[in-house]
Amino acid sequence: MGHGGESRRTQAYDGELGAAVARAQRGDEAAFAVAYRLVQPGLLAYVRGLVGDDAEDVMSDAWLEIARDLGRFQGDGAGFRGWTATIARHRALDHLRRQRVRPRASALEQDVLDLPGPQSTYDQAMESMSTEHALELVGGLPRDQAEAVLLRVVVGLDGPAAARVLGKRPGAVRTAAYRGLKRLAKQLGVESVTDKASRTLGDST
Amino acid sequence: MGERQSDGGQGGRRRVHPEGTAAAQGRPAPVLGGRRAVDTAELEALLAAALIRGGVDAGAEERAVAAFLAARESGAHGARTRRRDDWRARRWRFGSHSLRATLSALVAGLTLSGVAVAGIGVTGSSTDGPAEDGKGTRAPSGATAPATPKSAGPGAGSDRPDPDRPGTARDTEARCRAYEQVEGRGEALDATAWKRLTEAAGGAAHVDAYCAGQLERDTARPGSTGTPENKNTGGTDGAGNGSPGKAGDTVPDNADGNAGSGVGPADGADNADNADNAENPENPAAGSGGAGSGSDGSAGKPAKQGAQNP
Repeated sequence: MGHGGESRRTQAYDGELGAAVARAQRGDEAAFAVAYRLVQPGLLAYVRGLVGDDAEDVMSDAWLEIARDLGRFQGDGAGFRGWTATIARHRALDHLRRQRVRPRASALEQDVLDLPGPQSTYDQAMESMSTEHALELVGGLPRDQAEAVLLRVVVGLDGPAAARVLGKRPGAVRTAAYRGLKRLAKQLGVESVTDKASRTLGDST
Repeated sequence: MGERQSDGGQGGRRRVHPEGTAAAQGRPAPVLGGRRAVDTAELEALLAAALIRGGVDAGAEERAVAAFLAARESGAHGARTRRRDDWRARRWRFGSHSLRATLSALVAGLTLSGVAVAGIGVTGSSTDGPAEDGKGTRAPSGATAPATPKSAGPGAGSDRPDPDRPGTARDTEARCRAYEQVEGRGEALDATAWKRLTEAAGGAAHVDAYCAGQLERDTARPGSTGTPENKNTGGTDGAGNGSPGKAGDTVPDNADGNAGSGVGPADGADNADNADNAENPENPAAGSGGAGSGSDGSAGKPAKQGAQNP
């Protein structure tokens, strides 16, 4: 059931995540490990979109901070994803400042720039989609669109939460996510991302 | 990766029957919304599956847990929550603002109305103060009041709020009647009203006598006219305080009340003006002007002047 993707998966895990976080806050390290396993994959994918191959290191730093400040956190499972995403993003931006590397470029591998053009069929795009390929696609987006799409798709944040992570207005983030997805769809040759898509995107984000 | 593969395998079919596939899978997609265009949803699913690598690096997890343990041991987990750590209330949502505002207004309203209600009680009790005039009233019949100079105070109070007197007198009367009924039952006598009554009577032992006098006076009252009579009574109180014997004489006859007050003047007069003076036993001098004290409303002024003279 990859359909609906990460968003639904993380939603389904939010209850478990919230319970694990609550126990971890009371000092249960096993529960902290559970929360780590639930959150880390999505965060890593998000940070990879920001800093590329350094994502693992950045996330290690982020988790040090998360582990240290866990007692400060207040909220449920969904809130924990937003909170950790905020920390991860700050660490990623710090990393980028140090590296002076533009996030988009870092996520792009030069040798895989042969994206499937609009001519490619959707099926081909589906079958050929790999992590690198997806990163290229997202990395090819403007920064705000890429982040909005990643927070939504891989971290599973809703519009307001993503806006809080990014420090922007929800409307701006919603628009960015919509444009990013539309652009990705175009690159994948999905011509049928229609007004319907735009309307529902606008409604739900 | 498994997710990605499943997506890839079904991609073609989905493309052909997007609506049917969506229905068949009954996709709830909480974040995405039920009405999402399938292609967009598929795209998101595709991206998610491709971008997210299943599993976590064991070493990284161990380091994170180690950091957690270190923080726990160092007590860092007791740190205060900052605004950015609080993801409970969705403050960034408009709806939450209005909800919060509504709740605040509600709480404030309840608090203020509570204060208002409490204020009613306070007001009631303050008007009860004059009811202590009962002490003075009792003086004639009970003959105990004169013994304490302080009784002059309440007696004085009786003169002050003439219009209130009927009401407070009724209160006292009602309390006395109720007292008869609850007497002997412990708790009821602890209530504020009973304490007040007991105070007014000058002690629990005197309540009976006090009430007797009170009720007697009240039954006597109907015979004479309402308000003036009250004043007279007040006047006599003052008189009673000033000179017990005389007060005793004046009481039975309301008609003489004026005279009584005129004679026994002193305290009654200045009591009428301010309770402070009234409570000072030394003030009789002030009372000299009190000739008119017991008399009707207009008399109040002379009395006051007299009181101010000294």
